[in-house]
Amino acid sequence: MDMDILQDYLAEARELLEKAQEEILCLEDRPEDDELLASLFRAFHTLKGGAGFLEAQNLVDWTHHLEDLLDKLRSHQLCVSSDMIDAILRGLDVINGMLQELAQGDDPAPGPEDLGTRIRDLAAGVATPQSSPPPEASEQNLASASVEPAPSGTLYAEQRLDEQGKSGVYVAQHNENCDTPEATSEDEISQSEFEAVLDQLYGTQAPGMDAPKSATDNISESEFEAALDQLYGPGGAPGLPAADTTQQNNPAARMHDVPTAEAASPSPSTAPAASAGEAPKPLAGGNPKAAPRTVTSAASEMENTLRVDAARLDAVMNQVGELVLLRNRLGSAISRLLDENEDLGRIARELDLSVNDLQVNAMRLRMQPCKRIFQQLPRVVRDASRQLGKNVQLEIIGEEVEIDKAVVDALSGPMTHLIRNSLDHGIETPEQRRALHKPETATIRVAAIHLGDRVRIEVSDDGRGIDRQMVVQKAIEKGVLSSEQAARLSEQEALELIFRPGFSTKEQATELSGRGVGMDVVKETVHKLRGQLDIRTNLGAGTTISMEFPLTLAILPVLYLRLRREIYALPVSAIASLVEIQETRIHRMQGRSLYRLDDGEVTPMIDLGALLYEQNLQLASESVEGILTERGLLLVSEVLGNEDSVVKPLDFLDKENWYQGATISGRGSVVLILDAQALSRHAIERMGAAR
Amino acid sequence: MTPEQLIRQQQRVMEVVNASFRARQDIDRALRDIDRRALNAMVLVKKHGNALAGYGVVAQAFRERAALLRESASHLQENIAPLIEAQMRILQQQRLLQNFEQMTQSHGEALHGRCVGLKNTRQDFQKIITQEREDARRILRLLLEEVRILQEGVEEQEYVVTNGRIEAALVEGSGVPLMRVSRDMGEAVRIVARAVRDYRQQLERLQNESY
Repeated sequence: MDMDILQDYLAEARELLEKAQEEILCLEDRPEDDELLASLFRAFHTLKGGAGFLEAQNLVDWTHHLEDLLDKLRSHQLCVSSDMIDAILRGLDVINGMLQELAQGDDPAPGPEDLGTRIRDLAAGVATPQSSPPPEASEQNLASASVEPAPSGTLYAEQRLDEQGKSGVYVAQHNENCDTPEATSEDEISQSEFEAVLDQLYGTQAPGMDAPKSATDNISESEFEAALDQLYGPGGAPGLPAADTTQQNNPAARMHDVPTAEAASPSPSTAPAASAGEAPKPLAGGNPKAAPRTVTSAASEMENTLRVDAARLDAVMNQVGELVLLRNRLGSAISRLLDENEDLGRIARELDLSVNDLQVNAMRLRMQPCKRIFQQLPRVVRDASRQLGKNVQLEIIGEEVEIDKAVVDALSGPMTHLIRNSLDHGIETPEQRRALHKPETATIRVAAIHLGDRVRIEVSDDGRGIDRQMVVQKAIEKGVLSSEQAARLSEQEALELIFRPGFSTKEQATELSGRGVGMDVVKETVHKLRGQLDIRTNLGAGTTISMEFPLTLAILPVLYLRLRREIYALPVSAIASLVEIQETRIHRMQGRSLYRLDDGEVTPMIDLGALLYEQNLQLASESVEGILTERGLLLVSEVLGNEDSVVKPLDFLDKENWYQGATISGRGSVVLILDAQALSRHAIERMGAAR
Repeated sequence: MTPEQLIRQQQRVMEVVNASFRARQDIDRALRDIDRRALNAMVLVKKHGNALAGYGVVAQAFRERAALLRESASHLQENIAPLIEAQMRILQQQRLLQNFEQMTQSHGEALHGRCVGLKNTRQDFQKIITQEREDARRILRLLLEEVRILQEGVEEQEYVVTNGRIEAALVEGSGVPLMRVSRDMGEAVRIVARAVRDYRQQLERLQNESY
């Protein structure tokens, strides 16, 4: 199997699956939407065509069942029912699993027999209690649906070289009664399968493809000719005999030489239809004049879009990262020579700007819309709300907001956990909501918000909120912390107990939640992606969990600080402001050092000297400055300056440490990057232990 | 020079020493404050990506100017010690000359006529004092020149603050409190300007009264 073709197919297939899932959920609301039905049919069709090309027979068979069902739906022989939606969704899951097997180099195993039978039954119009075809046509439909519809003639297509050595797709029609022993369902090609071949060649953007206004994908002869003429000029289509100039301007005459459904030819090798690379997809609708414009725009779109291996982009980002480090070092070296040569300074500034632009553009290459994270959620909500008997409306905002691919890839699982938790723990049953004078249908809101160099992703619900006291009580019961420790927790810290591994407020784990794993996964994922996790709740009104991520993970702006003789870095994203420390503002309460800020707010004070060197910083005898973070005020010896850095992981350290990684400063030295959250957590634990 | 004049001059020198110490402390603290505020602004800007890049340039310039001011202020310190030393030497020589005068006066005028050496000694004292005064004047001129450079630096810093205010006004809708940051920066620069101006006045008073 050609691995390049496989990779191309997998990427396209996953996109098709994602789109199909979204469309199926839309279909539930708009069962009569022909465009949706046609689009879904094409998706399965393309999946099947590609699978056939890769000789993944079980995948071909499976998609064929679904394609068949969709074919009946788009031709209105059957009506959409929730049973069908369920079956198709489950069918999609099976395809997803098969794709994973393909990606691992295995031949996909057959799909589950019961589901396959169920889909076939649905397609046949049996065992569909909610299906209600139009009364006048139902009998006829059922009758026709019970038998596999067979075309009057079957098209055979093959890709090969013609006499002049040009590649082309050759199509020929065999009559049904053409008795070929080998002609089983596996090697016959129907009209729809011909489309699959074209789809395989062009994906969903085959030239000549118009918007799916019609549920049928038939192409008339004149449309086919128009598309060929558009591509090659009149009579220039490959495969046509060069000497046959008399027929070139007469499509009708030419059609006699080209095998079609009407003009059967016993031999597939006699009449080439188009070259392999440029075979047009049948035009939908009957407007031949629309074809040139569609072909041009589709081709133009293809020209403007490149599918690039993510590994190559990663390599570019790594190289840009190295370039940023070199730029920092060069800048630092030049700043020491500025008195001698002003030109150097100017060149350094220009280089700085160029590298910044390069960095921004390289970063954009990896950006993907949050839609990719959100698109699975409607199904999660649909399935879980049905299971729990709750009415839930999902509101998605900011699908177009873009974020680093690594975040998009990693957030899929955590988002599902958050939604399931919200559904299971947060949202009340319709009866409870009625009693509380709340709308019966609850709302879960998922939003992506662009905030400067960060993106915040929020999951909020209008459910019952989180009872802090209950959370603390459960945590004590489950031995997550002692009563003494619990007594010292702030309200926010109490809430954050839900992110502790093994913590759950449920006594019994259900299919949806209760194992104490999901929220831990959320926390760990956010931490790995250098994000920040926050939770806000209002008892009786709902909960919002927000995750903030840097736009890019490749470059990390940091602030360098000095702690006695050592230099450290702290991510700029963790810093609220820099503070001048005044001794009169320091207070002690229950063994914790607190600092009163300008606005009167009191924040925990974390002495990094004590934490990292077991020796407090002495305000009276050494310089001390403050860095205010969301978690508290860090005391350091001196704040030095900021720089864009590239993080090098410290994989050899224990899991529990307070470093995010290391970087190389402009002066060429290795500097450890501190993790403000871990420092704060450790400081709190340390204070607890000291008491 | 009368004993009263001597005492007043001693007081003036002590005032300069105090002013120098105070100015140094004020300037240091204000410059550190400027640096911190500039860095704060840069962190704030960095957190908002490229949207506030214009203000980032201003904050960077503010920080660089603060570093230059700090360097200029360090030259003040280099010159203040030699000035104080020169002043102390002048006072010492004046005190010696005064003692000498008292001693010779107690022996009567006849002694002067008979002893040429005494006359030479007095001339030597006066010559030394003149030289020391000239030295002190030179150092004071240098010091005032340093202060002038420092004041120019402060004026440039004020210009940067004005630019910062314009940039902050341009991105007022960003929700970032840059106007407040600019105001704080302006306040820190004003503290430096006031400290430098007071110090200059002390030096000029010393220059006018002593030489």
